[in-house]
Amino acid sequence: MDAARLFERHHAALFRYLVRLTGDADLAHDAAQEAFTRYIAKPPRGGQPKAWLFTVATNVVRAAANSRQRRRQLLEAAAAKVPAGDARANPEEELLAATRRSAVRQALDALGERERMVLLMREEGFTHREIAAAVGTTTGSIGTMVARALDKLAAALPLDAQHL
Amino acid sequence: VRISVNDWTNGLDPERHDERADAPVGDDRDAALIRLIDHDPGDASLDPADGALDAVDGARLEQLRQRSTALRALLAADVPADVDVAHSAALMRAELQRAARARLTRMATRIAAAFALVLLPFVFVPPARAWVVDQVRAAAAVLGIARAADRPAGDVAPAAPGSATAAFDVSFAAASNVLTVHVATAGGTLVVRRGHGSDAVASASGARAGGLAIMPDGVRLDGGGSDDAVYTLTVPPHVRQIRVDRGGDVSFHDVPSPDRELRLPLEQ
Repeated sequence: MDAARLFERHHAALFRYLVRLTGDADLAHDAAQEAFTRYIAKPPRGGQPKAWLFTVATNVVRAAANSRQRRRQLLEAAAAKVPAGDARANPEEELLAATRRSAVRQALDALGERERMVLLMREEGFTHREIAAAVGTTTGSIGTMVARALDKLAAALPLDAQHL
Repeated sequence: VRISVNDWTNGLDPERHDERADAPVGDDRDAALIRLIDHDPGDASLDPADGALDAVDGARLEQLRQRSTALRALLAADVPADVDVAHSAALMRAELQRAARARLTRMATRIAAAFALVLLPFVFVPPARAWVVDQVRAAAAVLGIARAADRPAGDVAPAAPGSATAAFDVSFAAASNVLTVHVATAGGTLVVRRGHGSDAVASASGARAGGLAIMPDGVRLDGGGSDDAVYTLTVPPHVRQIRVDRGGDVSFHDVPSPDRELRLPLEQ
């Protein structure tokens, strides 16, 4: 696929996914750009370019030095730095959103990286088959990983009793 | 550095051993129900359409569906704003365009280098060299770098490389109104005619005709040169004189009118 068209089609999803995966917009931007640059330099033969982009970007994130440490520092120090949601004029509303965001980030951070990747790729509309190819596991185990991740999130986040 | 996804659970994060793909599955039923919710055809035995789900499964399916939806809404709190996505896209678009241009430049350089390498042996063969130069000029003219008419005298118009010693025609640009014929053959006849084209054309015929080599100021007649060899030179209208150089013995001859021809014996 033409790189320009691929970029226009998948950048937003990839950037969203990486921000949610890392909690760091700058790192997400760098990783996404690296993935697209690698695609331009040497496009993959066959396969699904979208899944390829997500996999490469995820590997870039993982290879980034102390990314996890950086994410935790960001989480503790500046949850508001993570770009999320629309700007709110109401300070109380902003505070509430920041608190909710922080809780979500903590819950995501409590997941294993693989579970987080699986869950967030699912959020971006990937099929189990695509996720399995990106993660390097069987399609059947994706359902298991999603179920576990949802269990952990349900325990960590304030859901209504009926959803637990 | 590329880290395999398998490394995630093979040492980098040992405390999360429960993420191993081959780890015992805690709840196969939930996994199957998740596949059902995600419309993944992984477990055909749990198709609610054919009544395969019992009441317990159905209740659990609905609970998982609601949980998934509720969590999705909560997770949306962590989605970056559209303006941030657009900002990233704008920055990245410019950077990727630069990368794409750089890649094209690298590819063009490699192709040019490969082309030059292939043509390198031919630069030692004068007609081939002239042919190569002409091709490069033609390419440059196409690209708007140079004009095709800029060829100096002695450049060969497209002619097959390596044909200098066979009976053949060569055409070349004659910039001056005096064209020199270097006679390096022992015999034969030079025939000069006035043509109408913009290029000069030289040809050799005869059983033992020698070769033709394009020179900066004209053409050189090579070979043993039997008496029956005929070298024909058709010159463009602006060429007024033929300068015949027989190993330093130079003579000048007027180019005849179009309806006539000049015949010169080539004995040394």
